[in-house]
Amino acid sequence: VRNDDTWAESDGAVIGRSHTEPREFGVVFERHFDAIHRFIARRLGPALADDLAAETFSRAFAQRDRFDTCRCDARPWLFGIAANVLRGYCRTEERALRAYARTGVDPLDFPETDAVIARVDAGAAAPCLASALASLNPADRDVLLLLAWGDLSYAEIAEALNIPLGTVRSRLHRARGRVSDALRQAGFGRADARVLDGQEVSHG
Amino acid sequence: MDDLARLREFRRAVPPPNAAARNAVRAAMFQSRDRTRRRFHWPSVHLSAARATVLVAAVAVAFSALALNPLRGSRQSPLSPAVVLANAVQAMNRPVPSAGTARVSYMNSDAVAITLPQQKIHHLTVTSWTLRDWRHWRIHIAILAPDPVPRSQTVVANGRRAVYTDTVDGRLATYPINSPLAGAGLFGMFLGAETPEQIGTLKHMLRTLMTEHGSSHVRLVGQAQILGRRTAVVEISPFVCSPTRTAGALGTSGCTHGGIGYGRKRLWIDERTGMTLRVQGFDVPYTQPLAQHNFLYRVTKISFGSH
Repeated sequence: VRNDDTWAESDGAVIGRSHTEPREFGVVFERHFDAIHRFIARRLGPALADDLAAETFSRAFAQRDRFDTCRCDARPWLFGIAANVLRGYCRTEERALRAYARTGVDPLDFPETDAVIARVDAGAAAPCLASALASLNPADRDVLLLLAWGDLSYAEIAEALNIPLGTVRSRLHRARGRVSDALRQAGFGRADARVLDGQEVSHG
Repeated sequence: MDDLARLREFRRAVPPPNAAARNAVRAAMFQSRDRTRRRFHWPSVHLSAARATVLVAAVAVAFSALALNPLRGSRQSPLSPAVVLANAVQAMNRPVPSAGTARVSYMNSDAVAITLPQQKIHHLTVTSWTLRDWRHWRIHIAILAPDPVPRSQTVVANGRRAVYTDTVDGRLATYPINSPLAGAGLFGMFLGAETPEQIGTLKHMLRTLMTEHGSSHVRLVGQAQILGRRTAVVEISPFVCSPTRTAGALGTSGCTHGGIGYGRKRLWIDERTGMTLRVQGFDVPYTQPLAQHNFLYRVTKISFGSH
């Protein structure tokens, strides 16, 4: 019997039902497509995001019998597939980040107005961040960006990448250390952070 | 503001997926390979020991007969043409960065002297390319024949447009690249792999294979090594169906929707990258009166990796 309140169901239950009713997988698509698309677009730009998000969901649909239907949330699984899909584009990502660091202009194909907003959002630290991200090894970058942009917890990252939790911690420690060092060297260090925090408090 | 907060601000203003693309993805997802539904369940068969022995012996005899069959083609490919073409089309969506040189030659009937059917003009072009993705590439075209003075053209795709320049007449033209597919189309067109462009040819072949009965019109001829790379050789025949009968017609066979068939075409498709390394056309008329004969596109040098 189909539950009318489909959105209250766990992803596991929906995927389990999709074994016999493939169309049910559309519920999982509706829930998570935007997040996956956004994650890929932030890493490789909107031009590639359409294709790679499509590839991610095609693979997920084809492999849905591998998903443990006892799990409530399919996000770690989907982000894991997206990370696998993105793995073939490491060099593209690094080239774009290096170009950003060098020129201060994001080479990814963001629409003009959004690109301006993005530059304002990221502030002067953006080229420095781009350079730091480019210098990370792909495995460390995956972990860091799943945390920062995918909003996954440590345990979910471990599940997504199929690595032990300890490895997630050590990779994050290494990646965040490098990013922090780069920010500090460029004058966006802790002292600066304290001042900014103080301003926020005083204004609040 | 700590490193993580700054990172969260970095590239924050990402445009959402547009509704049309989203719907297309959703529709395509259900057409993707559905392993769950095709999962094979072994039948539960209870065999007696004697029957099992007979069965094993029969299978062994069948295998040995296949293995020792002297009539079996040594170059027979284990791949299906549908898989090869689908991979090639898929690869066209995600190109492998590459650089190389290709040689394009064909014979054209002279449009001016069309009343003299024997008069043919030999065309020869050598193209060199560097490809990063469908929006970023560079092609240099050297036209060696039929012009008495060799001329060269350069096309550079810079992400948003392709800029074409001709060294002899100084002509300059720009072509917008609104999508990766548009960039792929322009790349195929300028490379000279085929007209209509390569991706169109592949899709046409795949569509033919999928919509017509069996694989009698698109077939895998075999495998071959080109520049040290293993390629699958796929042939389509007839290549086009025309409502009118002219010279060179192959007959109505293969034209399931009516018309008369013309031309054969073979493609040598790299099994790893899906790139077409060679195209050979036999009596393939595209436009009248400029009939194209014995078209040959041949990659003579290629390297993969970022450039």
